[in-house]
Amino acid sequence: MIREKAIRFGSSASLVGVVSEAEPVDGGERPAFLLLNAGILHHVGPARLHVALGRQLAAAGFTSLRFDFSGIGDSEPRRDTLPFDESTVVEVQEAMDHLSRTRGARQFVLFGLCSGADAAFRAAKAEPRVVGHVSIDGFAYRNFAYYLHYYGPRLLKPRSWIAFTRRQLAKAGRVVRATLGRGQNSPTAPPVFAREFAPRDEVASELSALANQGVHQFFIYTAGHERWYNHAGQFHRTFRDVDFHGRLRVDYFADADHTFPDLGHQEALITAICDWARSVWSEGLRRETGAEVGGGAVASAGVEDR
Amino acid sequence: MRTHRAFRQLAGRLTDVGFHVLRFDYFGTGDSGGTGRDASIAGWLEDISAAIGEIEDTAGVRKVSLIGLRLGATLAARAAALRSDVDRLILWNPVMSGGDYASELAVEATRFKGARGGGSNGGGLIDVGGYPLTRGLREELLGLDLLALDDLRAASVLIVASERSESYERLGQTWSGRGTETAHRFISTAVNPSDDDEFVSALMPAEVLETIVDWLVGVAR
Repeated sequence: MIREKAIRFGSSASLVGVVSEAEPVDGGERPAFLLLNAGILHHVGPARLHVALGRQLAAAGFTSLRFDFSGIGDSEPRRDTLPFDESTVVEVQEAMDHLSRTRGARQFVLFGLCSGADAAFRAAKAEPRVVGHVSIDGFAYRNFAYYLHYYGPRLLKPRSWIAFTRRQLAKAGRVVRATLGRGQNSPTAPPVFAREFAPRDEVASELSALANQGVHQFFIYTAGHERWYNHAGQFHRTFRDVDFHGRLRVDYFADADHTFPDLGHQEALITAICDWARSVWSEGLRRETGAEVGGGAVASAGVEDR
Repeated sequence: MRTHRAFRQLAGRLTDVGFHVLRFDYFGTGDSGGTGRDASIAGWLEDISAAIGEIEDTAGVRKVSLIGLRLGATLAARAAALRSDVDRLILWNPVMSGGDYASELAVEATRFKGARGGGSNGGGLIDVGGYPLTRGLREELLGLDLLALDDLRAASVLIVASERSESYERLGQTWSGRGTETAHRFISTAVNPSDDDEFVSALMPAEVLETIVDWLVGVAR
């Protein structure tokens, strides 16, 4: 059975998480995983994804810490006014500091889904101790092939035309009501969360910088992200100008929804992540010089085939 | 999972007015050990007993109150009926019939299956959006019926409902008739932490939380 420990950490001891202790395995020291919040869901993740992933990683020899950012789950709210984009980086660093102090961890892999993916990427850019990140449904950019995949099937279906017409009529109705001062939003209506991605060129530059630092990058996209991503190969086409030095893997789960609300899909996801981690770090930590280090590297093309 | 935020806020409000509070995850859920496939109603009732023992030891108390939401409320009532140290029960939108609840979950599973996920995985297991509902658990649910609970043993009960229900009113009347001091509060709220569609919302049913705290404080005097 995997050993786990609930902890408080951080400069104010206000952050709460659970450490899954790595099982002893051959091959030397391995990085520790930090599992970041998905939206405002607490550290167990959607359908206990983070719990299952943390335990499987531990069984594979990787210590993990699933924790709550301040104000989420069991962690206290911050007492300063640091914006979320910045506080998440600080708190990831505090998590790293804790594992360094208590378990001698020197390098880390960050895991995040949705806003967690965004947080993982921000922290990876800012923190040299990060040697890898797994981002599910993070930034994505529509290209010509995206629109082909999106509109192609729809143009052939009468139902799509009816739905399109209905949406336009509904939109017109909202405009009319707003003009007449009616139809104010209900104060208890759920807020609409919108994500904005940085410009593609900016992200390409950041990806390149991480690749040059030796960071292994694993991007996973699902059918639930179809507003931004809808076919295998989209990531490679989008960032064909970036040299990942063989440290890139991209998987597209064409049948899975955004939070993997399916036992089979969740198991496949966890297997993919653990297999990737083992393949990259089965021989322990290595000094990354920016050049390809033999053994364990993952090909950057042709992997996206789910 | 979805009730975590509500219970954390409730716990904070209760500790503010002097109550010791223990929140815990049943076996096979949350941070606790095991997987959903290994979970059972009988096991969860033992978990409640273990939690009661833990807080009695830690806080040095002899009587406890149990607060449950939906199936948790039903289990709280079942657990209370087996002990003499549960003084008060707060049942928030309790599941009245385990059989009806199992049917709801089966419908929920179908909804997920239609949206790229969930459904049946074979072997009698129903995948409810990533949560396994085993055949064994379904059979145990069939045996849950709040109205059939004879001896609550708790001194006071608060039923909090976010929707008007004849079942809840009948429950309150039945238990009152058996000598248990029972209060029933209907609180209309647009926010329901059990509602799947609300799970990304940060809104909390503040009035429900206030009602629970006020009732406990009032009964404690």
